Amino acid sequence: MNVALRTSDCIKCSACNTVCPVVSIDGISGFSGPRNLVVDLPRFFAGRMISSQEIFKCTTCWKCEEVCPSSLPLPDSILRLREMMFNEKNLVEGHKRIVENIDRYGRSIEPQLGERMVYVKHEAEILYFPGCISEMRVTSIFDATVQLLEKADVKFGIPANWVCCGAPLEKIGDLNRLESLREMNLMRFGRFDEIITSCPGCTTQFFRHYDRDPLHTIEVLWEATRKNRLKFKPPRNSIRVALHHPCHIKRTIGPQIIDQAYDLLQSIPKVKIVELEDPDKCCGGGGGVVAGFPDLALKLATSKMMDACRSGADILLAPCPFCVLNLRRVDIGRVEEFITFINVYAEREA
Amino acid sequence: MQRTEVLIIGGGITGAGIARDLACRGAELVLVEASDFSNGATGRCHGMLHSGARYAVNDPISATECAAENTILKRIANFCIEDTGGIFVSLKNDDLDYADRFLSSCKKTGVAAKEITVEEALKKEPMLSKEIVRAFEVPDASVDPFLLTLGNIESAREANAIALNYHSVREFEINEGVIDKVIVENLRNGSVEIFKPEIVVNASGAWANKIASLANLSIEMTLDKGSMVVINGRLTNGLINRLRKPSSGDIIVPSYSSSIIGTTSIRVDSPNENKATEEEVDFLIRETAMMIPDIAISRAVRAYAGIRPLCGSDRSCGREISRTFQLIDHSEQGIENFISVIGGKLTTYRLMAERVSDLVASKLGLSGSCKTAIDPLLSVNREDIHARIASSIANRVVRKSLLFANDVIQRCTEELRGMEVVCSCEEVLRGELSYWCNHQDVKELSDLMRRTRVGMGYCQGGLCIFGLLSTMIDHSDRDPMELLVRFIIERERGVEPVLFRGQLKEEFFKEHLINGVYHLDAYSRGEYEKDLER
Repeated sequence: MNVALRTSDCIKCSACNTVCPVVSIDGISGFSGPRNLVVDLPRFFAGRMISSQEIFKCTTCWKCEEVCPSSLPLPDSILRLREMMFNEKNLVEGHKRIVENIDRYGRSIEPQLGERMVYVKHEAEILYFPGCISEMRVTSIFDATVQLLEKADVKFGIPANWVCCGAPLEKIGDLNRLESLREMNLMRFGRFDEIITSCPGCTTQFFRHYDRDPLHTIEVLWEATRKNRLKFKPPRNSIRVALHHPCHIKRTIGPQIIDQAYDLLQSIPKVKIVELEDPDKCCGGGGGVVAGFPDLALKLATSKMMDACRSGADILLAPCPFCVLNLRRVDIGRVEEFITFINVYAEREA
Repeated sequence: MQRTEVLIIGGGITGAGIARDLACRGAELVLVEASDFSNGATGRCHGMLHSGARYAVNDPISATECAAENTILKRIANFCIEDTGGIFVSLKNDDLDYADRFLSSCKKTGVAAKEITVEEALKKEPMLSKEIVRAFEVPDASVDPFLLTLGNIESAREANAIALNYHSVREFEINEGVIDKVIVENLRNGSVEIFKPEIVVNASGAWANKIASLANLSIEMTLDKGSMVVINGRLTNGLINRLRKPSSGDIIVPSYSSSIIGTTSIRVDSPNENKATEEEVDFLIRETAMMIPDIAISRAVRAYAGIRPLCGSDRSCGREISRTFQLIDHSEQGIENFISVIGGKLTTYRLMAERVSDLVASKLGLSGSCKTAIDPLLSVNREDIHARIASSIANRVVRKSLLFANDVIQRCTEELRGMEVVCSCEEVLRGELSYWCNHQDVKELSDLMRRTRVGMGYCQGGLCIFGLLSTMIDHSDRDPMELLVRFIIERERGVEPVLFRGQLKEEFFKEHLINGVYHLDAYSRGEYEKDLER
């Protein structure tokens, strides 16, 4: 079987398996690792079903591709395998819920708070796409982003009746639904080419499947501080923070956003940055793993939180709603969403 | 001294086929092979079961033979044949008249060729170039030459034949125009064994002249090197042939998890000149990429060459010599009980064996008739195997294990770590290796390779070598370093001509591994090799 992606240059060094966060938790017997799933297994695919459990354990952290000496498109191939194996009847419980929610509400999660305020200002120059999680779960992100954009004098609007960007569907391999969501969203974006997102999942999705070049909120805020539109007041007491590098920012939409996040933190007085031991280690929040394998995701999150505790940080900042949701399932340490944190200290430049 | 009715020299497909045929007719026989079975041209062929179409226009005798044998082999040896079918394609600038002549010649020679539309061809083979203008469907198939040979050997053994590998013929003792004794050296321990045969059959392929010279005879033959390149991944569903006058770089054969492209035709002087060159690799990739463009961007894993022992020596170009075979009864030259067989192809091995056996039987006065066209080569009882091991693995293991599937599966399921995958390129289990390590025929690591495909994948023994060696030394008292060096040298020979892109990177990585684990760098390997030669 041809996975249609170029994986034949594998030299079997297993660097991918060594850095794979899921292998580190589940062992090679629980999750065969990128090489085995993508390179070896398709060679013997005929007549063999991959245990559907296994292929869906990948968190799509993209670490394997980063270390691969041949730069093989390993995560893309895993997604392609999921796509080929997609079968609506065989979905695991959590993934079934995602599909149902999308069919019913157009969102990947069940709305709990009712529709949030939707508005498009007449003078809007750019769209802000909130995304399902920011709107309904980690709602502080939505509020903080709106407030921050206003402080920074960004003329933005929120598209009416937007639907899920489709990132969770890509992760479970349902490309048909993804395509219909894409069309609905593109219709609603109308004349706007530029989009701001506050979720790395949405950002990645627009970049990969919508053929757009979206801006993450951090990029907009960084630009605003450059132009002296934003300034920061100090917290009452000094705070030590650590920054988690979400996989989909660090390795898919651009590592420069991480640098910009550090710049922003450094411009807040009395905020001291401490380093995590392995800041870009996956927290387990991506790839549909939280929905599909909650225990696995929890183990990964716990490992991340232990790192945070060891670093001596008061707060672990994560610029990604999925990471925040998953990390907060752990009972130790304090996690805050990055944009929400920034918003507390940001002020409009007089 | 051992008396026997027939002594067959050469354990390639020809020798193995003759052994099976004669043994089934009730002859008492011994087969000796200087290396491992199928180590000569048999194991270095394209793995193609010809439909005859390739020879239809220029070599009608071979075409007719192939067409008939194709059907027979698919029936008697389906365990080692993938009946993939094949397509002949003409490209834009090819001679289109040839295509018409091709179709009528196929009809005349009994080859089942059928023209299909370009759209149909592209549907069957999505990777085909969009440049094709005509396409013909033929019943070509992909065959595993190692399994076919070993299948014949095992079948002969079932009929009480003795087959010995690593037994090299040293000398004939000739008495009044009759080969009286054959002196054979057992390469396992250096001992000498003497056979007293009634008839000697020389089926040593490219070495036929060397054997004949032991009886002060010479055979008119041409040695012709054909090189092939193994491309990682199955790019096609069936075989792809270029529809033109047979020339080089015409054929793509899907085989296991790879595609084999070939071949070339170069005259050589010695059977040992069987190394593919970089120029040949470049040429083959360029030529076959015209049919399947993806070949140009795929990873070349290995290149190898076989020496065709062709009949006659009067013409200069190997392609123009008929691919049919020749049977030489040396009684005309003064040796009464000596027969040589040369030429032929893998596809027609059974027919060759039948003709040789007919001659031998008439000389010996045997009454039994040939049954090889009817009796299946091996009958493996698959029941209860599937109950013991996951079916997809079982299929592969059963296919490879000839008559021993039950024992092999037992090793896999009962031994500690028997189900561990040692070679992930070809998915070979430790239990399989462990079974074959104990088999009487296995001496070197590459013997395991021919029987299980371990080390044949795209890493060319890079990662399996550790598991392979550890399994082997559990069951053998050979010097592990010697085993290792011999295996690495053998694999490197084939990788050398394809050292670019993926395979170059792979070799660098392997160099680090082998050096790191065994302190064996290229230099010390060379030194060790020199020691072995001494």
